[in-house]
Amino acid sequence: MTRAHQPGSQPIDIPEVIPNPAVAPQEKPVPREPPPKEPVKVPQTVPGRYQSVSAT
Amino acid sequence: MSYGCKLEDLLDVLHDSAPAKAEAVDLRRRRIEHGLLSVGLKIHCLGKARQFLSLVERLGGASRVLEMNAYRHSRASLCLVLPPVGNARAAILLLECIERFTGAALFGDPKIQIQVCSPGRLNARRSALLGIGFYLASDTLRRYACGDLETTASNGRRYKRGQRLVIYDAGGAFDRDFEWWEGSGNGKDRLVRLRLPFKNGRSDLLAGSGSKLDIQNVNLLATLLIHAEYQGYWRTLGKRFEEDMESLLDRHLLTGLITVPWVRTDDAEGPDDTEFLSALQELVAYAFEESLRVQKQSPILFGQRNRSSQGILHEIQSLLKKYRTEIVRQSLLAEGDRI
Repeated sequence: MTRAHQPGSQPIDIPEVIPNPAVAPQEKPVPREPPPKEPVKVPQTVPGRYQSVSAT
Repeated sequence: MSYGCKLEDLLDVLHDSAPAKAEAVDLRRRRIEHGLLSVGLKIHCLGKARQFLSLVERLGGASRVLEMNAYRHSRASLCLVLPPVGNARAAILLLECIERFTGAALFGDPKIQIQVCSPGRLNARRSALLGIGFYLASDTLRRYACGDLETTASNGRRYKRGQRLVIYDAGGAFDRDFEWWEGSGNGKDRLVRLRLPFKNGRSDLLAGSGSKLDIQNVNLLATLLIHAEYQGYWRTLGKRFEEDMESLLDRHLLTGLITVPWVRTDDAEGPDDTEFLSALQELVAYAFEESLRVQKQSPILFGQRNRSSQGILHEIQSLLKKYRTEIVRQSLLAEGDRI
């Protein structure tokens, strides 16, 4: 920012850089939260009919 | 120009902090997109450059990476010369990798000045179009103070490039191994050469505190103008672009800007920058005034009018958009014809 000041007048601030009004600002991608993990379906007890039976 | 490091070495180092992006650069490093020119970048760091020390160290130390290249912005403590890549997207990705590695922003930081390098030297008139086009199409409008464009080559013993937005190379290494789309005699067929037609020679643009859009715009502008100058495949589009740009400047009574020396050619006499700096100030004043006018316009009254009446800033955006679209459309059509 440059400050221009003449005796007897109000100083004014002159910006060194301004956004170009003809350029649409690029939107930043909004970070999305990762989807919740699906619960792992592990049976707590194995039904009896699927249990392997030892042949011995 | 001496490249401070090999691209493979740089990507190896950057891979630690940005593996996906470094691999993407590696894949696209030689790929030319739609016949646009290859892109080189220099990063001038005006601050103490602490954020780059680790990178420089990993690449072999200052004596290997920095000191072999005496060229830099006159207020810079460091100028990192990056090896050129085939397209603007890869160049931007490369900067993003460096951002990730250093943890500091490279885009939009006033202490980081980006120089965009394009192969081939443009004549004085086309250099003016490159500089003016870059300035008006950038996403920021800048004021320039005395010394903002001063480099170690501005008034050196050997090179007197002056203070300019557009500067020529100073000889040195030049990577020619990028495709060049050459125009055939009938103006329709495309001949793809595996090497650039220039043994050396570049037109660089000191973008200052730059953005990704700046890199893309300079790449587009330089391609159109270089192809017009060196009979490339895009020469017809390039010449039409020049006419459109000159007509645009004429409508805004700015044609006189093209006649001043926007680049210092080797045969130029005297180190006088005054004429160029006055022209630049005129352009800056016009653009700032225009931006105020645009902001004050009522959107209800103004929004209904066509773009061309919205002033020079909107006009240049429309012009670049039109030519970017046309290049993509024609190159895809040409691809379709080959299949």
